[in-house]
Amino acid sequence: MRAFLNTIIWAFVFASNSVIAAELEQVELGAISHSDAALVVLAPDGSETIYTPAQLEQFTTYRLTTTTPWRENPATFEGVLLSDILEANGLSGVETIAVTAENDYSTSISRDVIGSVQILVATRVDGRAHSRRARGPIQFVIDAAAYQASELATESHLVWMAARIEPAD
Amino acid sequence: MQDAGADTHRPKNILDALASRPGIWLALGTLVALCFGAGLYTQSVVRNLDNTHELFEASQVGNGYVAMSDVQRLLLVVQTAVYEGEMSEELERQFLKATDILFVRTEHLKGLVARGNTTLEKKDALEKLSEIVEIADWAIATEFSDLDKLMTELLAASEVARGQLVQFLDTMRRQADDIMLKQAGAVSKQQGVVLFSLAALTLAGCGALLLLRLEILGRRAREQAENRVRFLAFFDPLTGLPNRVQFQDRLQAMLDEARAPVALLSLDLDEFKTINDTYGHAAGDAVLKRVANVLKEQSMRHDGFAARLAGDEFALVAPTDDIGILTELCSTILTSASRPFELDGEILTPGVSIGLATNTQVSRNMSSTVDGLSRVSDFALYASKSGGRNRFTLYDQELEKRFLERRAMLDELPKAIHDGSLEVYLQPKVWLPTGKIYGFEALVRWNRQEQLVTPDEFILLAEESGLVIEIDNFVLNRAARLVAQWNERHGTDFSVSVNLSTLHFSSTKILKRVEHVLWRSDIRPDLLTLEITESTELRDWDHARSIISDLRLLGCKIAIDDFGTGFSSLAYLRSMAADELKVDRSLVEELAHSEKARMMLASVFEIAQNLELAITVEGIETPRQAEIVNQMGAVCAQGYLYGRPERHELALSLATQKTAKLVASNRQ
Repeated sequence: MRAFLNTIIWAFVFASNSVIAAELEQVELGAISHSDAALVVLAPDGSETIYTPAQLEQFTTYRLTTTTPWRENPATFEGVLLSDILEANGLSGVETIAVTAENDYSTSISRDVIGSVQILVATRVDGRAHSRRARGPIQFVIDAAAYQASELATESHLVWMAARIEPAD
Repeated sequence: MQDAGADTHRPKNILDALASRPGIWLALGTLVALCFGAGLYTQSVVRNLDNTHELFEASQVGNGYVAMSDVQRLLLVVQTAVYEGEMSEELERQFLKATDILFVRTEHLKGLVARGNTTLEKKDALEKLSEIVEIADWAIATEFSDLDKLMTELLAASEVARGQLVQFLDTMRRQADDIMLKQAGAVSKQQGVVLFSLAALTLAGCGALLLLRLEILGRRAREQAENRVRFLAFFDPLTGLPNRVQFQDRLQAMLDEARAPVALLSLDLDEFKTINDTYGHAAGDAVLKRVANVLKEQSMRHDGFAARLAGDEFALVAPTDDIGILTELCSTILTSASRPFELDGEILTPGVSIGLATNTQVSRNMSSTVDGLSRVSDFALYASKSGGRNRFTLYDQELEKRFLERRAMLDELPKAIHDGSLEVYLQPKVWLPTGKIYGFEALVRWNRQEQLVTPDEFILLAEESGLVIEIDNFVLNRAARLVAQWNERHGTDFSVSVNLSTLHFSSTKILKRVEHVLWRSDIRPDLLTLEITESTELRDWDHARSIISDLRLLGCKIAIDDFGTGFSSLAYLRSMAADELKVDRSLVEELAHSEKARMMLASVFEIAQNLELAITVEGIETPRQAEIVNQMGAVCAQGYLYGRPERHELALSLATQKTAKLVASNRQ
């Protein structure tokens, strides 16, 4: 009986992961005109890297169609993985990062959260440049199903108007 | 029986009660219920905390502050533009961003209000925030044509929005205070529950530990008792040496090994009773321990073992038959054990006698068993004792010859009592003034294999084997009947003395025995004298005195035999209510040549007279001795001068003839 239940649970987990992987599909994005924005990334050695939305899209880009707590209808978000940005700036080994938004909102995201769900740093919505009035130009998005399944991810991690990433103290 | 059985199942203490099936279920159930209750309560508290957290998060209290900040950001840009007199390109970019941020915030709050997640008094604040966004959008659309008007309109709208937002934040603060108060109360209650649970669990834990300790201590005590019992079963508690049981087991195991040489040393302390009597039992124990230590050390040196068999009897077993090694071993033991040592200011000098035998020197039928080997080594030990003590004797061919002879005698003696091999000889006792034979001492002889064996050769053996009582009874019966019959037939009135072993005087059976003899032989009681000798075996003098008094009441006479030998004493003489004192031959031998001997005998006579005892002097062999004792006042004598022990017919007829001659000569 226990073996049977284990099989069911593992099958469910495997199926869920498959769905998440299918949602986040790798895509090639054409050039468009972005809103005026920048994401400053502070590496552990103190060096700063400033990414405009166009520069962010130099990383491998992905597409995700999902709802968010503020969108009842699904939208298609495009952008890059937060984990790629962190790795490029030597932050993948940092226990916790601090993220600050343009409106001075700030939050912290632990390595456990980043390891448990894929966070898309979206620069486009429905094929267009992400605007501030749509919680852009740079927004952290998590697939709704993965978000619901995760015990670690919360709404505080869905940062909009993201402006700065740095190691937390 | 039923009650006793029920009692064994009744709990004797709390441990037993807990160990019972209902007890263990009750205890476990209580603990589980306690843990379950505490868990449930903690869970409810945690759920309350989660709910509170969700309430705060859902109410998005932070949005109030952020909205005020967003409005302030927009006002700051316009204020700067008014101050500078124009909306520069940079200020315009900041204005656009601030407007967008405020727009998103306003839309976000609208969403919360729509979902009912906030207590924000919606209308005014949201309308004013929307109005601010509209004013900003209009200013952007008109390219900031009138900055002063823009400033004025934004200030008016933001003032209302600020007031509404402050009210919202204050409401949230009150709610937070209420919630925190409730939480504090809940945590306080939880503290009580947790403390109670911890106290209960601590008590249960302490109780369990105490019970565990009790159980461990009980088990340890049981194990110690069992170990003690095991030890006592196989070891002597005083010396720590193996006891007789272990000695027999181990020696038998060694003898069972084919062709393995085994030597057995039987040891006995010399004069141990004297040490005990003189210095006390503590000194006796010290001597035993000292000898035990010597034996333990020597046995370990020779890969053997030592044992305490009983009292002052020890044994040492060594796996060798090398006479050289064993001789050296015995010498070392004798030297070490008899070295003087001090105890409480007294110098003690123990002595040890040793009998040594090996299984290879002893005949096959004796060497293969513990009993057989022990017997021969004991025999060698006896030879050491007889030879002067504090020495060792090897059981050799000569000793084996004597041993076998002794064994043969032991085997034959019981039969001899019944088959007529034992004969009663009579030695005359004379009245010195006249030379008349007035009686006899009955002495036993063993006609063994056509050789006459004297009592010296077999009475000691009979005493060791317990046959002496049977022999005494035989002599008593036989002598009384013979003399009584002779007296009846010949009109004489000879008396007869019979020796009794001191073993008789530990039991009142002797009374019935003598009574029976008197009745059956029909001898006059005053013609029967029972002779007793003081010996180390006679320990209970009071009991013996009581038996002697009863024997005298039957009419018999009591004689103290062998007075003057090492065993007799004045105290013994005084305590025994006897009729006659028989002076030992040792006091007579030097009588003719020694003034001292005469003085000593005179003293004995004086003592006897004072105690009103008749005196019979034994061992008179010469007329000179007879003359001296006669002059000293003795009236009765016994010795070769008057007649050797003879067969009863001869002794009685000779005595009758002599008496007749004496009567005839007196008539003449």
